[in-house]
Amino acid sequence: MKSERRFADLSFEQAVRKYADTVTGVCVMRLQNTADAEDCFQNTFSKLWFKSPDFDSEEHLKAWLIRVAVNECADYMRKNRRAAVGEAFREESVDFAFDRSDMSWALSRTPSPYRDVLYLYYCEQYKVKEIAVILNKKENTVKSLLKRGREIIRSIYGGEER
Amino acid sequence: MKESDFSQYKQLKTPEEWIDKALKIPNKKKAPLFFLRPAVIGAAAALVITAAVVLTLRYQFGAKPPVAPESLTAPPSVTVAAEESVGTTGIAAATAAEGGTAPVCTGTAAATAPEGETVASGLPASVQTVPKPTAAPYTGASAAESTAASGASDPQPLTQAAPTQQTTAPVTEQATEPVTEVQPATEDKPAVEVPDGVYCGTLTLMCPVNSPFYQDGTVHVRIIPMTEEGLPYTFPTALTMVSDGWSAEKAEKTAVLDPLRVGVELAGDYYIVEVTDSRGNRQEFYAALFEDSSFIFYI
Repeated sequence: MKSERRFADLSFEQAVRKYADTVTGVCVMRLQNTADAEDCFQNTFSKLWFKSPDFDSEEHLKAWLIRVAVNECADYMRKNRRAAVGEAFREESVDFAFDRSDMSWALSRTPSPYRDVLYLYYCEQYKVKEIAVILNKKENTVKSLLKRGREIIRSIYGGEER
Repeated sequence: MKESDFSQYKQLKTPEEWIDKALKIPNKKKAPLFFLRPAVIGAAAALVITAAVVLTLRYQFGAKPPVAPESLTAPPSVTVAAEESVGTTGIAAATAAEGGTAPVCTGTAAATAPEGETVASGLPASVQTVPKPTAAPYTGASAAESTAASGASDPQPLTQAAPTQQTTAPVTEQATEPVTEVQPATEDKPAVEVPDGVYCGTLTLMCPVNSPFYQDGTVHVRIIPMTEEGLPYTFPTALTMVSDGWSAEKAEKTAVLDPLRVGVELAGDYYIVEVTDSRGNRQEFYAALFEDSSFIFYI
C-alpha cells in the first residue's frame, strides 16, 4: 500500500525528503519555535498521506504542501491561543538564533501576513501570481503586502535597506 | 533586497528525526471517526437500551389498573348542576293534580309547589346535595323568626286550604360548586357520605315517570333524626307531610320541602327521609342533612 500511493510521480518517502526543508521553512517562519514547527510538519505530511490528493506536477505538490503548512500553522496558533498575544508570542517563540546580519532575522520580526509573502517571494522564489494562488489572495493584495513588508524590514534596519 | 539575504532561512535543514517520524506516517492507522469509537458506540447502545426499558416499564405500570368489581356494582352516581327555579314554600310535598287539589296537611305546615319547577329526568334513585354558594348559613333562629325575617307568610294551619300564595321569590340561582353525592340507603347499611361544609336548606323530591310514586298524587314525607350511634328514633318535631300537588304536565313530578320553615332544624346529623304514599309505596333515604343546602331525592 505504501509503495502504491504516488504523489506527482513521487513516492511518499521521496515527497517527504524532497519537500521537507520547504515545509520546515514555512513552519519555522510561521511559528518560530522548533517544537511547534515539528508538530505542524508532521501534520502536513499526515494530511498528504491520508488525503492523498491528485497532483498535476511536483510544483503542484509543493504549492499544496506550502499551503497546507501555512494553514496548519495558523490552526496551531489558533488552537494554542497564542495568536491572541500577537507580538509577544513571536518574541517568546523565537528559538532560532538568526544572525542579525541576515535578513532572516528581520523577516522573523515582520508581522505574519507580510512575512508569509516575503518568505514565499524571496526564499521560495515564487512569483506574485503563484503566491496569490498559494495564499488564496488577490495579486494586488500580494503586491501590496510585498511592498509594505519591504518597508517594514527597511524600518527594522533603521531605514537602510541592505 | 537580495535573495541571498535570506540565506539562513534557505539553508534551514530539516532534522532527520522529523523526516523519520514523517516516514512512519503510512504505518499509522487513521484515527477512526469519533462516532465509530467503541466507547461512543457502547454509550449510544446503552442509551437506547435504557430508553427502551424506561418506556416499556412506563407503558406497563403506567396503564390504568382494572376496575374493581365492587365499583362496577356500585349505584351510579349522578352529577347534577341543578338550576333551581323553585319557589320554596315550606316543608311540604306538592300535589300535582291539575286545577289544584286542596292540601291535606298533617304536619305543621303545608305549601304548594309551584308549577314550572326544574326537574331532571331518567335519573336513578339517589340523593344529592346541591350546595348553595350564595346562601348564608342558618344562624339557629327559630322557624318563626326565620320566616318573619324572610318576609314570608306564616305557616298555614294544618286544616287550612291550600295556599296559592307563593311565600318566597323563586330561586333562580345556579349551583356552581361541585355536587356532593349521598349514596342511597340500602337495607344493610346507610351509605351516607357526609359532605364537609355543606348545608341543607331544601329537600327536593323528584319522581320520574316510571316511579311507583308517580301514579299517586300525594306523598307523605317524614324526616326522622338519628342519634350519633345511628339508632333511629322519632324526633319530637318530626313531621309527616303531605304534598298538595304534582306538576302533572311535566314528565316528572317534583315536590320541594323546606324543613326550616316548619321548625325542623337540620343540624348536620344523619336523618332518615321516609317517603310513602297511599298506595303503600315506601322509600327511605339516609342522608346527612345540613342547613342551607339543597338535597335532591329521586323517588
